[in-house]
Amino acid sequence: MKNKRLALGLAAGTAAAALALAGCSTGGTPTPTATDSGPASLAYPNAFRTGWQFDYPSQANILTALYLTGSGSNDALYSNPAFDDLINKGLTASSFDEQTKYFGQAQEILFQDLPAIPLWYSSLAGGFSSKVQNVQFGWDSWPLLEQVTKADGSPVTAHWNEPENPLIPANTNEVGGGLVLNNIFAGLVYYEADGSYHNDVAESIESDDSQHWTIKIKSGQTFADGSPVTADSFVKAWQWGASDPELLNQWWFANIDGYSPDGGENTLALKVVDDTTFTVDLVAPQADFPVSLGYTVFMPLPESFFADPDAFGQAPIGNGPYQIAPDSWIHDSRISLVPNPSYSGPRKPANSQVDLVVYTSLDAAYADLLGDNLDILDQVPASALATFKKDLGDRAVEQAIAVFQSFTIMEGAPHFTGEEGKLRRAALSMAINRPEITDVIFQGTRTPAKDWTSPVIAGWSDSIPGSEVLDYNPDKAVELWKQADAISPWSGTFQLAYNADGGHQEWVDATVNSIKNVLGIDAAGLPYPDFAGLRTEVNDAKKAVRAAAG
Amino acid sequence: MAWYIVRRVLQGIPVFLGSTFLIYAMVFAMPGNPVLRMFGDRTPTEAQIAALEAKFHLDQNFFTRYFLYLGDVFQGNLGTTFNGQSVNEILIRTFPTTLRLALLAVIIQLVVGVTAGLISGLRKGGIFDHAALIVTLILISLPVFVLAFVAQWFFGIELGWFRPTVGQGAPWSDLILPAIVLAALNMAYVVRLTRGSVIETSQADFVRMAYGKGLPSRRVVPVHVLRNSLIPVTTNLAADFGILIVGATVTEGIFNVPGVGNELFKAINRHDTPEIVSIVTILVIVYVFVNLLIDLLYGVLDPRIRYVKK
Repeated sequence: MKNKRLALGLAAGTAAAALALAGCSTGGTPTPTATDSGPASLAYPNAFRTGWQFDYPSQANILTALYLTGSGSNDALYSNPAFDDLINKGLTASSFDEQTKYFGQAQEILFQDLPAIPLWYSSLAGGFSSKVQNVQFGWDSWPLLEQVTKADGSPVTAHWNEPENPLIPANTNEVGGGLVLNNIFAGLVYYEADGSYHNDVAESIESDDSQHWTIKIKSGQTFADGSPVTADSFVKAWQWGASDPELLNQWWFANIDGYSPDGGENTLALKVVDDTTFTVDLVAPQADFPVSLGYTVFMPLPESFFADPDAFGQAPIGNGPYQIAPDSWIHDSRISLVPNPSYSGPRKPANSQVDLVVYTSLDAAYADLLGDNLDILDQVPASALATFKKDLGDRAVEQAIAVFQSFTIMEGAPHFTGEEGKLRRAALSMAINRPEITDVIFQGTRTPAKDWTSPVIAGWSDSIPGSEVLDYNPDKAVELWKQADAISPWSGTFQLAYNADGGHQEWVDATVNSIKNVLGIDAAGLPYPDFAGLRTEVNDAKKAVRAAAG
Repeated sequence: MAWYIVRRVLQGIPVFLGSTFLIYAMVFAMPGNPVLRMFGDRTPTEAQIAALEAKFHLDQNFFTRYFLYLGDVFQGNLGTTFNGQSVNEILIRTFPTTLRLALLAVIIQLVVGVTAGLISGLRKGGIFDHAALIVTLILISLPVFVLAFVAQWFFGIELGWFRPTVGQGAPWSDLILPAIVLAALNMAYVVRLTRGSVIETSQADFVRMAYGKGLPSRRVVPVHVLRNSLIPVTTNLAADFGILIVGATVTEGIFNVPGVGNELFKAINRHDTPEIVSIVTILVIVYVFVNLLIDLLYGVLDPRIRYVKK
């Protein structure tokens, strides 16, 4: 049936669906050049790489976003009512243990269906200079800047990426802008390095049914410009963030009642009760809602923001541990953060200034780290992965962070549906020698996956029933593949698509070689020139399949 | 002469229009939707994609977008990047750094390369000549990034003579090491070119006559030999200056030089059409301008070359 859907997509004239059909019948390794006007010989890949960096430390973040029926980032177009049911049970669970139990059972189902093939968790490989102390990186890979001290009293310098968007919480979704916002704003909650969360601005966040929340904030707090932080500062900020689909984080408010994808003024079901209290009505119960409130999109905004959002984006005013030193933001070069005297929360800075420095390449940043010209580097370049522990000694940092890597096989891809599909997916998973690839290619900076979340996120377990499918088992893989061939014989090439601009080629080649050697089929990487090209292809294919399904 | 310059400058107009059009068309043909890239592995809603495409005119057809861009350019506005920065400001910030780096590299090539080439040519077959031959051979065969990493590690980190990367404001002193690395490859060619040219000129009739008139070699060498040998070297240096301005991306990356090459690289990654087109177009114009200067310089070096109205 699924194949027929794709055929309908072809009839409807969508190029991507045509590519999807061609995927298994063409041999070789075609390189895609154009997406909308490409000739029919271009092959849409069977599988494509997917990475997920957690936005907030909760298992629900990844499980709902990637695999819940109809979720926007559900690239597999996966839909299993039993899974959805367990996730919803987890989201309404009254205790954390109960929630973890349901999420574990939901993952058991994922292990059976394998909408994606889990690969490994990422670790952070970084380091710090000999001039600084108390350097710690969080679960989200950001350094905890406020703790760092420097003996000579000069500004602490840290590696930074130029923000890709104006510095507005509702419009910042990448690490460069996020690092600044995370330090100049204080949210309702904040995260410790290990991913646990505590109240920051919030006094209490309570609900009887996990759906209707009452949030009380501490009184007497102010923004760096002296204006008070009130319930209104949160409500107006969130309403504004949901008002316009041009804002990159607008979809974040979709779990609040009243949200419309098209935006509109004051659509969200938020109500100010008094100066320090407001209520939030969610579309559906969500027990981990308080955890998510530490993500930058939920930060409060001062009155001055609404007068001129554009100007604010260049010189934001927050309520966090730091504030931006006046005129210190030199684009593509650096920004200086100095302590915000009006901040009274738990993240009090121990230093007097932090300079975030943009580097044109990680290699340059690493050279400066070795020369003690840079204090904190959150990512060593690939060229130094093998040597950085020797170079830096006890100043090298390697720790797990909340990043999950997998490759997704879209529902409806030929030969990957129904019973045949389950067999083939399991066979592929067992044909990948994860320990060897993480060791050889990544020098141990990746750890083979054991579940569908991350070991730094509370609730993680390496013994979920069904996780044996992640173990390297060539004999079983061949056996399952043969069983699948008995249902419908395999032909063509298994292709794993990736973006060639992200340093993925080595592991993709190793992975497809592992599959090729074990299963004895043609398998190859399918490079797209850049990330935009890969995502466009994935999105077009999703649209085509959805359109065909009506 | 003046007429020649005016004509060459007027020729720049079609070059400008043609290059903007071609580059715009090429960027337009790049596969992939830049809006989707902005969301990473997250998938935006349909409404978000539509709104952002409208905001950046990505939903318009090619000609509409091109003429919108040209309209902005003629008002002196080279466009705005996806993150709201003005391309004018980016160019004002990055271009002088690249220009200084290229200038420094060309000066190093000229001083070191021409001197070494001159000595090699005058003492053909001597020890210096042989040494220069070997050194230039090594420089030509080394890829630039190898040279850059080795220089950065050895002179920057081990010996500590230079800062390993370029610091804030890109002071001249920080630019010396990257400039030497940038200069190295073409310097080898300059040495060889100068050497060959000097050998050839030394055997020319007018040099023998100068010596025959009894002029001392401190007059013959600079005035008669060197000046006449510099014409091919000048062409080479000019071409290299153009290349240095356009394509120092690798070196800029390794030494953290906040220059144009690096900005262009990031813009291409973002599919940031106005930024790519504006930067490349400016580079084309600079290249054209440098070539004009070189052609004029010919006349100075060799009075036989004259630009007159025909």
